[in-house]
Amino acid sequence: MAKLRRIATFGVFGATLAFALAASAQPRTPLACPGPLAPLALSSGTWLITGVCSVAGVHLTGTADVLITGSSFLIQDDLLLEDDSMLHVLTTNFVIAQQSTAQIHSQTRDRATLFVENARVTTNAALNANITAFVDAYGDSQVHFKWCALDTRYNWVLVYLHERSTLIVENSVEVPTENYPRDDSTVRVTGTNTRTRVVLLMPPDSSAELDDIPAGETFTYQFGRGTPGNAGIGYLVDVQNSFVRWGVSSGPRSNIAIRNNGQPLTLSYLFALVTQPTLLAGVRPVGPLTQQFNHLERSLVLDDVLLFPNGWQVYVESLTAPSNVKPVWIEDSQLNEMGALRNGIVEVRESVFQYAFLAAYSAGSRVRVEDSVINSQNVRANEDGVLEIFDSTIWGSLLDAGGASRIRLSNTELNDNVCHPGCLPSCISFTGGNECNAFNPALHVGFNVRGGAAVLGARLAPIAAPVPSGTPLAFVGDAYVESPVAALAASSWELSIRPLAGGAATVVASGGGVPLRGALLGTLDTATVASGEYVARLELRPPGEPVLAAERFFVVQAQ
Amino acid sequence: MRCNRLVRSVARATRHASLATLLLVATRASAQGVEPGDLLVADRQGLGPARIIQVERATGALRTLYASYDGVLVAPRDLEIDGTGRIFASQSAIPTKPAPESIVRVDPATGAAAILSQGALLHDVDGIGIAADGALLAADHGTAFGVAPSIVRIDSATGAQSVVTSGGDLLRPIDVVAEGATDLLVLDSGSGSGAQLIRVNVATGAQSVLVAAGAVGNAAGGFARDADGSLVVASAFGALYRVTAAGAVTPVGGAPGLPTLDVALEPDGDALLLAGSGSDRLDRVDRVTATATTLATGLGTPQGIAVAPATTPFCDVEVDRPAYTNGQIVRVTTLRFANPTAATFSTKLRLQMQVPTLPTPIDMVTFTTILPARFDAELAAFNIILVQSSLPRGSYELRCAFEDPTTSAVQYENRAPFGFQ
Repeated sequence: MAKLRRIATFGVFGATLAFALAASAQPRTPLACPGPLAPLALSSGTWLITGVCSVAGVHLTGTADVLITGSSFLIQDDLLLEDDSMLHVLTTNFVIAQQSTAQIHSQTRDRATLFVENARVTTNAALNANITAFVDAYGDSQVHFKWCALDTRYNWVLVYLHERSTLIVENSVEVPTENYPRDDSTVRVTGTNTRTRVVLLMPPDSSAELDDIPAGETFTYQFGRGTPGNAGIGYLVDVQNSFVRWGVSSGPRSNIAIRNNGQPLTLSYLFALVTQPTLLAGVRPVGPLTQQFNHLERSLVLDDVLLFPNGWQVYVESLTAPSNVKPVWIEDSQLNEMGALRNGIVEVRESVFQYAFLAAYSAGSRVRVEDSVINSQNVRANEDGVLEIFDSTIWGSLLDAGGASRIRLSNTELNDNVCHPGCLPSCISFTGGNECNAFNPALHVGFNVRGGAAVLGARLAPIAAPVPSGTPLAFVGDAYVESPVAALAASSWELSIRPLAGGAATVVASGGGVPLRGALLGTLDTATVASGEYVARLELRPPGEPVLAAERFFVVQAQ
Repeated sequence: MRCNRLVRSVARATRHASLATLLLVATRASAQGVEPGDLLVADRQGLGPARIIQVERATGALRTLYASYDGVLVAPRDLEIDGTGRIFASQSAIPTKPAPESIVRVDPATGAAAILSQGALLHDVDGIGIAADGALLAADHGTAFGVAPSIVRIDSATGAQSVVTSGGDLLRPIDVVAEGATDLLVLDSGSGSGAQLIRVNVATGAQSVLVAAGAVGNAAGGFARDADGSLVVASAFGALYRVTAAGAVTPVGGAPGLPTLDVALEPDGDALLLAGSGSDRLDRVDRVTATATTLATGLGTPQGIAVAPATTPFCDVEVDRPAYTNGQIVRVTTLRFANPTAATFSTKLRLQMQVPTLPTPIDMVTFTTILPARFDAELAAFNIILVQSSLPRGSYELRCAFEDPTTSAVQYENRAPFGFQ
């Protein structure tokens, strides 16, 4: 059954023409740029701002209509368009100057319109990282990108369409980078130059059989509202002689079968209201894949399905009383992105994170990762989220913590973003370089810790062989707290040993206040202990918080 | 729970009153290699060298039998011990530890490991079992790229592989046990609709669902066969179920919420739940009360557990530490005599202590008896000697043994060495 239909429509071109005619017909009043310390806030009038303009934020209401032309328009705070307002950004550069992902939120509401045209879009305030911006459209509002472009190594734009809102993408390259239509919204994509991703969200009680997903450089297809072969879907995606990368989002109580797709897909897998422990195992990108998944009363059947190398995203949210929430366990999987949203609890084992986010993203979220490889450009915790990583390796990620969140790393190695055997399914470089993750411009692991957040690390390097008695044993590892909170940054640590079979611990070394990575933490004179099996334990002791411990087994061998 | 264990052990022993009375004065042993009833845990140890760890059943103390300094068994998944004490481990690559999909044999006496079989039909190996003919059975997930999940038979001597069954109802098989000579049972974790049990005819590969998806939990942790033929199944989240040969399922407690990676049964029927993902411990679930207590902590990243099977009469004696000083008490933590066979066993039972200054051991208990079939007497821990300066320093040893009543040839023996410092 076809879900995506080739049809002819002139809707996009008609709307664009009408907008252009309307804009040219209105006499505009010149308006001075408010400057970086003030928002652009208007409720009526038809205005023109020219030249380089930087504002603290944008809030248009009523019938305010603003056209911005010139070389650059930069916003440093939220953008909100309401009522019948309109913002037309017709500049060489449109900069959403974020220091971290989702720092600046853009929204259109009611019948408002955001039109960005001919702009090189930047979502990153000159950081050596990949920073994502979010745009949400509600009501009958419209978001329109025309002849825009974006460098996906540093920037990313996600558009979420709610209610009856409309998104028009016209000859834009990666602006938006990803689109998520919901409810009764509409996405219209035109132009042979367009490159964007549309994710088809399957809500509860919906069904679809996707057996003719189109291939080729350009195509004309429709999916959703009013098209045959699906049920329970209110939105419409209309692609006219253009190109879209498709994603499919499987949620609880949905029923999807995908067969023999001609163009690779991405799959999003949603867990919601998780009140029983649940296991997701064995997901892989690329393919062709033949698998089925049945969590939370859903059916997702993959029959000879091709996925992109960044094929899987998993999101966990539980909008219920936290006491009822149970974890989702993920094991033996290769995930492009994994996010624990509000109250989401996720435990991950033996998996690979690829070219996107690993995040305890929202309030009440808890993520524990063990025995895994993390190639993500962004390892993130927000609000009071806690992200714990054990016995894993991290390759060049930005460790990004805000709010009161914690990222806690135990026996986890920090490596550079270079091609390595755990960079699965393959290393990606846009420049012919040796990086693992081309969407991460950074080479080294970085820290971006804000507010009351902290990133804590305790690690003891493996001891690869028995130690002959009398030989000094050097304990190398990490003991650090990265935090703006001085008391946390000054945390102490202690290194001790104890016999494996039981017995009292002996302190080998202690310290604190100075971040140590790959450092000599202490040396044990093995002549002073009996031969046998021991456990070394490093405790990082942030004040008022749980100890972060890392242990290593070692043997002192009689000579 | 330990009280219940004691009560049951004493009750068993009381049925053989003369023996129990004599044993009250007795001793302990330590193991060379693997002995019936020993607990072994495969521990991947994060980014460090993997280990096979012996867990003292009485105290939970840990001792390393094997460490992967040799680079052979770096990513163990599951363990099995055959009737002769040989250790087999499945090995499966994980992102942080590349390793060949393989079956590894470990010599418990020397700690030497060698790959018995690798690759070929093994794509993503998980739990292993031992067939009635001694061959190994491996549950393999297959791949998402068209290789169906399967059960693979591996010759325990040559490593030769063959497929017993594949595809069908198998979605994510995680463990396998033999069911007599004709069938085997597969525990399958499913694809989100719940764990299931599948019976497979060994000769034909034909599958039949014994327990439908979801009846034994959302996902599977492991399973083991009890002495009465029933199965004890652990969900991935700590719930235990008993399953009859006909497929009837009864919940039997457990440790709800515990991230469970495997389960094994002790000789007295208590279940051992091996927990990972931060819990990293071994819990014992009492067969009578169905409640859990923690036996051992301090594991790294444990993966699989096995209890050495008892196929012949055996004894076990253990003390609480390897060396004592003045003022310490030598405490016997294990003293057990068992005949797990279906036949009576004629023997001379001995319990001896070797003392440094004496040329021959002191006989503490010696008598000829006929042990009934399924006899099993295990005493609770007790003290035997207060170490004082008047006692000679040096090496001591407790020895339990079964000897031929006529020739005195050793049928089985077990020793627990210790020292006075």
